[in-house]
This record gives sequence, structure tokens and C-alpha cells, in this order.
Amino acid sequence: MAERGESSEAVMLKKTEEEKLRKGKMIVGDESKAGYEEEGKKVKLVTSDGVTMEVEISIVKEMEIIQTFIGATDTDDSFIFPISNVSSHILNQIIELVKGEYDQELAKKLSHDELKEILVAANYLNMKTLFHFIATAIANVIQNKSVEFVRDFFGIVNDFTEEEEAELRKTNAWAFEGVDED
Amino acid sequence: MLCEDALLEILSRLPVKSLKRFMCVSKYFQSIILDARFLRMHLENSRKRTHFLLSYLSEGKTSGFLIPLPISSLLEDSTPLFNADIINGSKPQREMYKVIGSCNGLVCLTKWNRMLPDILYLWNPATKALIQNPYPPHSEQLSLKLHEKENVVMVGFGYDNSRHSYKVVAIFGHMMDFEGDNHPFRSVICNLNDKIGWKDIQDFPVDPTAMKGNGIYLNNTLNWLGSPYCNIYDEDGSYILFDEVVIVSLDLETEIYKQILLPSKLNGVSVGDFCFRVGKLHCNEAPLIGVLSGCLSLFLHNRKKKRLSIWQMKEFGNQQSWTLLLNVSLRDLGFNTIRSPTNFGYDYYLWTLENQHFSCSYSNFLPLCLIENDRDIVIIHGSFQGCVKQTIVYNLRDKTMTSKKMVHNLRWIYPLDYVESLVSPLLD
Repeated sequence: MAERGESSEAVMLKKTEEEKLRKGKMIVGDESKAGYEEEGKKVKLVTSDGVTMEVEISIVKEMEIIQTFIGATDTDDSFIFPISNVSSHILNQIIELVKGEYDQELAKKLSHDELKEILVAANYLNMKTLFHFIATAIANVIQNKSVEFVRDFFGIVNDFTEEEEAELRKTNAWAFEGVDED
Repeated sequence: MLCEDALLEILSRLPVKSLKRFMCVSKYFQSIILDARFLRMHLENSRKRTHFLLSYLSEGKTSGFLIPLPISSLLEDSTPLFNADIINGSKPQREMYKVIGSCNGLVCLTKWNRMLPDILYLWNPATKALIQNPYPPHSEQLSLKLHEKENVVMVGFGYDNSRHSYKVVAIFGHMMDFEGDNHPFRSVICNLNDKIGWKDIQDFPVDPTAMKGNGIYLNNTLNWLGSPYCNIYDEDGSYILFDEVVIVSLDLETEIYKQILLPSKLNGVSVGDFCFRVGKLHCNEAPLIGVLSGCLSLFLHNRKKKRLSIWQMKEFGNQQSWTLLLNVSLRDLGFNTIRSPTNFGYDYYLWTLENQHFSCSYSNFLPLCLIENDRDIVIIHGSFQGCVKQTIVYNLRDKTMTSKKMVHNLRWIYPLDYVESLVSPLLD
């Protein structure tokens, strides 16, 4: 199912790219006045939990996956884009972070699950700045943590034998000093 | 569970110490961290966090160690100097090892007690790996040798991106024989990856004697200074002009030297006011050239006019692209001058900053890096003995400064564009 969905999406993306090109030729150099960049304009997004949210165009513009579609259609208010992988809670968090101009202080207030879900959403929506920002925030969280913390954080099962792990810890003993308490 | 791309994005932003620890999370984590693609990704992200190399003077002892520290440690109040990372692990002794250069997280060292840089060491301070002479020459013929009356004037260490190899360069001068002979400045190169040995390349095109220092690595080139004269006086005994000073740039791919002119605004300016002691315009402790924000830069400390100006060559190799980044008086940097009369008929001047007094003639300014999106410049004020006095942060936009007194046990060697990496000193 997922695969089929993805391929049809890819076809659509390709089509819209072509349309964009054709449009671009018609109104050369007039892109700044294109309808979808009007200030205050909003785009309706339907989240995974079925909530329709009106999101400012300036934020939607960072979502490359959606931007391609908007560029292609004559965006009247009836345009609705489903984002089936992102919940309304996470979309709200994303909006906060973009509005807050990606301040790492804001990221510190997020829970570990929120951080991970935002990273997945940023990847899905193709929001590059957000993706790098959240990756940095997660790196900051785990940087001084123990191996056990990281296993738990990413849900990873240890597949080393006790001997193998002991050997690795011995080789890099200095790397285990000064680690935060979990 | 996150997809691999997301995981790589996170892990590539971690310090090497965390990665060494997280290798025991699982076999999957270990395979990611040991992967060559990850190593390159981590190195690219690491470049955004500039480190510098300095020596550490241990408490109550005269012996010092080479250690890399991040810029942030100069700016924050908490000093990481006494944490376990520094106390433990391999750290070459400053008295024993001489630094040739650094790139991709590897530091190239040689021994002080050798006439020649023939025994080389590659050191990765982040992984704590230190390897002696990764690849000694195949035969006696290819080893590093001096001709009669030759001595080593300058060295350099860099990475040739086109051949993916690390290279060491040595430039030779000659002992004075007072016969006015025009000896060439022989230069030799050693490709550490191909494991063959030293070979002669084109002679160094000008005289580097009055401006010797380690090669500055940038854009696949190593850069030094030189002039047609062996000291800073011309034949009439007056100071030479900046017109006579050039940057000599060795392309590590073609192994050919190119000369780059200094800003044309400096034409006609005498180097006299910029020299720090008789006969010297540049050295590792008081450099005239360095790298700032990826640009080859000129650090001009006018000792007479008490000004500091910095030029950046925005486009490497293009003389038209020299841009004035900073031009301030030392007063703008927070210094005050006080006059201290002597009994010998002249007055002695001292500089003060934060109630500390310094001799003007032995002070030295070392621009280190630009931070906060190139808004602030970090400058080290130190002495020629390498003792660091203060860190000065000058805001280029608001033209304001802040300063911070250095921890007494920090001593400089010189700044290196050092970044943390997983690169192994055991080369392929």
C-alpha cells in the first residue's frame, strides 16, 4: 500500500514540476507576485488525526513536499493538503519552532518523543532547516549520556555478547568518563 | 525507530568521544560509526565547530602538553581544563614534539631534537591515536637528506583533495657563507599515502628567511610568505616595502608554486612599523598571514601607530578581492597606554587592560576566528613566549569589545584550523 502511494505521489510531483516550468515561461520574472506568496494567506493541512489546520503560507513554504503542489495549482481557499504522517500536536510544535526562528532553547522544552516525532515529520515534509535543527537538538540531548540511555532513546536492542561489550568498553575506557547520570 | 538518514544526521553531530562510547550501543551503531561515508559526513559537520590547538601547562610543573580545545572554552567561564579528557589519554609533550600542521582532524608532528622533519608523527587528538612514521621511505635514496650547508627553513602539512593524500613539504635555506652566492631554496615533498618517500619539486621562488613560519593550509594549497630579500632591509639598509612581500602558494595537486600579491593599498607602505623584532615580519607566534572564515587573511599590527588591521582575500588567488575586515586602534580593543618615566632620559610605555600591564613591544595579537555569523572576531592577546593574556571579542557591527582574562596555565603554540574527526592516522 505504502509503496503504491509513494509512486503515485512521485508521478504527481513530476507533473507539477512540468506545469511549474510551463507557468514559469508564461509569467517570466513575476514569481514574487505569484498568488501563493501573498502575505497572510493560509493553506489548509489535514493531519493524521483528522484535524484540518490553517497554516500560514510562510511556514508551508518550508515544507518542500507541499510547496511543489501549491506552486502548481491555482490556490484558491478550497485547496486542502493531507499530511497523513504528522499529528496535529506535532504540526503545532513545528509551527512554534519555525515561528521561534529555530531557537535551541525552544527545543529544550520538548520531550524526547516529541523530538523524535518532529525529526520524522521534518524528513517526511522535506523541511531541511527543521531536520538539521532537530538533529542538532537530539545530538545535544544524547551527547553526554550513557550507552544504556541511547539504547533506550532509540529503542535499540543490544546484540553484543557480554564479552564483546566488555572488550569495547575497555578499548575506549576514556570515552566512558564524565558521563551524565541518566 | 528512526530511519538511517535521520540517525546519521544525529550521530554526525556528536563529538568523537560520544561516538567512541556509542559504538557499544549495538552492532548496527558500530557499523554506522566505522563507515567511511559517516566519517566524511561527521568531518563536514565538525568543520562548523572550530577548534584550535594549544599547549597545556600542568599545575606546578614546567612540562606542557599539546591539547586541542574548542573556541567556546575561551569565551565561557567554565574551563574544561581539568576534566578527565585532558588529564587522561595520549597527549604529546610540548617539549618533545613540534607541530607542522593540521588538517581533517589529523595533526602532523615532528621532534624538536631532529635537524630534519624526517621522523613524522600523525596524531588524532580526538581518538587519541598517535602513530610514528606511518610510512618510512622505501629506500635510503628516498629519505630526507640535506645538501652541504643546507638547513630546514620551513615546513608544511596539508591534504591533497584531488589525490586523497596527505603531504608534508620542507623548504631548505643555506648557512651564510658571506660570498653572496644566490643559492636556490630547494623544496621537497613527501606523499604520506603512496609510501614512497621524499622527492624534489620546484625551488621556493623567493627568500623566506625573514618571514618563516609553518605553511598555512587552505583550498588544497600551502601558503607561506617571502620576499626577494633575505631580511627586511633592502640593499640601502632601509626597510623594504610591502610591495616586495608576496604570499607563495603551493598547489598540492600540481606541486607548483604561485605568487599572490598583497592588497594594492599596502603598496609603498614600509614593513618597519609592523616588525616585531629585528629582522622578522612573520612567525608562528606572531603571524602576518592566517585563515579567517575560510579566507586567507593578513594580520597587520602597526606597532608604531598602535593599530590593528585585518585584510581578507575573499576569493582565493584574486588580488582584487582583498577586503578590509578590521581597522581599529588598540584603544578600540580596550587597551590604555600609561607612561612610565625612566632615569635614562626616555619614557617607557605600558599597555593596560583589565588592570594588567604589558610591555608594548612584546605584545602580540592573534586573530583566531570569526563567530556569531561573522559578526564578532576573537583575538588573542599574548606575549612572544606564547603566554596568553586575554581573549578579546570585538563586535564588528556595533564596534564594541569584551575581554576575558586567560586561565594562567594555558599557553599558546599557535592556532590551527583543527577540527575533530574520526580520521585514522594509519593512512590507506
